[in-house]
Amino acid sequence: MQAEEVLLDVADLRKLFPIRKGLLQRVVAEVKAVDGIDLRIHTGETLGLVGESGCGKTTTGRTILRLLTPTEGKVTLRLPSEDGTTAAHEIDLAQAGPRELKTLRQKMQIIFQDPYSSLDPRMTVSQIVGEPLKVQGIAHGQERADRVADLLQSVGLEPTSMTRYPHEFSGGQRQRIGIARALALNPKLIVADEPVSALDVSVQAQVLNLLQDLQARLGLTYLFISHDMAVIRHICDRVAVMYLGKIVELAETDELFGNPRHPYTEALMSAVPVADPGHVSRRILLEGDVPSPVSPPSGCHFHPRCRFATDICKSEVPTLRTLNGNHAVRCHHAEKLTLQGVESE
Amino acid sequence: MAIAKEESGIGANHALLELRDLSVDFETEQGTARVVDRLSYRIDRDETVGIVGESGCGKSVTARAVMGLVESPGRIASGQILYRHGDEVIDIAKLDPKGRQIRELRGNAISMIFQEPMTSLNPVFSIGDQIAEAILLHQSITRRDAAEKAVEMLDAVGIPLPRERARDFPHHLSGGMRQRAMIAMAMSCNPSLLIADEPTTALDVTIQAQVLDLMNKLRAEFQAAIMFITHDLGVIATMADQIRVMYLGRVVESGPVSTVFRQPLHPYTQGMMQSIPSLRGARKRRLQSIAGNVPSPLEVGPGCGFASRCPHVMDVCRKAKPALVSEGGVQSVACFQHHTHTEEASHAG
Repeated sequence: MQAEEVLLDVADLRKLFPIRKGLLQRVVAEVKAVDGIDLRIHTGETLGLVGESGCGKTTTGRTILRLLTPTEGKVTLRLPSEDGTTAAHEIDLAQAGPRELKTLRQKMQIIFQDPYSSLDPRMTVSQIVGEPLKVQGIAHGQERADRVADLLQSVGLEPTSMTRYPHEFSGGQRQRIGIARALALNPKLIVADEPVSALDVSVQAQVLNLLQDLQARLGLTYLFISHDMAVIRHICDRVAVMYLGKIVELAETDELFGNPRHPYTEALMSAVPVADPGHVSRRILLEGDVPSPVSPPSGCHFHPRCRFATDICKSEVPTLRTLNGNHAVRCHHAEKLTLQGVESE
Repeated sequence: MAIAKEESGIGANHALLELRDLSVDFETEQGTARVVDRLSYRIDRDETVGIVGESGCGKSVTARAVMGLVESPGRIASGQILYRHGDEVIDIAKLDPKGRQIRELRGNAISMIFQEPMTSLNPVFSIGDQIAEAILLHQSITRRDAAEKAVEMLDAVGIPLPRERARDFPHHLSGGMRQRAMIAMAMSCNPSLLIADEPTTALDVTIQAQVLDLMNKLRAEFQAAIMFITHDLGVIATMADQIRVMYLGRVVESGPVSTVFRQPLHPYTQGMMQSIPSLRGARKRRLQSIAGNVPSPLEVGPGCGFASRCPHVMDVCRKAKPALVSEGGVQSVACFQHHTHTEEASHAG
């Protein structure tokens, strides 16, 4: 893994959704779904984005892909030249026009959560998987059919499934079809948005293994979005924890789980039920719900639920600071807190 | 309506519910699908029994059968659902699903909470009214007292400012609060059996922790038995005393949670436990997955339902169904690796 080569650089990304009301559809408020995100994704790594519903993780993924237009910010995709002699080609996705976007989309694809609604029920598998090739005008006729058959094989489906329709497949198989479609254009970056959340556990393991195999074989880079801490820990090299549109902690996986520095990360980890009846739970129960991103709390957004909150947390927004090495945290008191991580076996 | 006499099983004085050879069929265009297949198990008083299995294993249909809520195209094909109500034992399978007797039990002695509270609460009535209505239906008290009781229940499930929240409509509440309101409604008539069907699956993990904590407190306070249906082994380990692992409409393994988690005997249970990524185990290793997919109930042959995916499959597995047989006391398993008892033999005997 070439860890230091940055593939994608996200700087101060913001996405606001206006709330309109009344006859004139005046903007009465804004949902700050993504509220100033900075991220770097290295070539070949899996970066996890974890958080609860409404924290903006999906919006972040979609804004990076320009499925949503960012309100503000810069998203730079760095494509190394083919022969490696000339300098890398940098493109700001946030500014790219439609024509440029179309070519860029060859380099980045998405896998959706719901394998039922993300496949057109009236298209055959070969049409679904072949569509990116058709849209991009890459392969035609027999060439396209061969490529689709290869793709299906690489995700563990029989080439005979080409003529069948999505409803003939189980959830896990449909997710494989979605993965084959994402791979069709040989992308560099794949945004996997909760790719296993809708699947049963035994099938979830198959799909996670497949994603890992494909990464090793094709040198893919993943932005892996999930609410499941165990899945995130299993598959990611580095993890960013989001809360109300902001990254509150970012570190390498072992460091984050072993030595969390943000009280929210700690609570999130301790809340996961452990599949071991002998496990003595030291669960930290957070009070209340995630506040609305329309009117987030003042200062540190987490302060109303934080057991360490002091006056400064109510008034001042903490910045994302780097502590030791590559461990970044958005908390005024990070240095002083003793938080419990997960003991590895 | 049939009232069975005291018998073994349900006759034991701590037994509350006993399923005996329960089968539920669904008529489909492709034929009859047996979704629950000769299921037998018992739930004792004050006990939390975790029912675990993947989608389509029949866990929710079993719950609906116990509530007398199996609707066309489904029907109870055979078997008994014996429930001990006071001194009598009632076979719920034989009750008229719209009759007086099941309506007396439903929501009163047996109540249920569902996965998605938004779809199980009525959007046009306030939370307080809905809980009060459940109470009025089963208890002879005044409307005012019922409303007061509803506020008490909201307070008991940890909803802040219960008096104000009682006037709120479901859409005013967050997912976690709605599930609390559902629990308040389910507990309002002091049920002896609470059926919880994936009650925390739709919730965020920090909210799930709150709701599980609440359910643990309430079960001690109300002394209800809980049938806890989930696909999440972590939730089972936290909540249940007993576990029943279901696959294709049958229990393949059962026993105390501590025993089954320490030493799962059925290849399906083993596979399921190895296939979940853990918060503590080695990272990035290949997960042990179970090959293939759950077959459709229409495709089930004469053999063990798991035979098509089982890493230890033998010839006999494709020919006969293994019976659920006790292995050294508390734990039972339906697998020919552990015994040679077929289901037919055990029924004949």
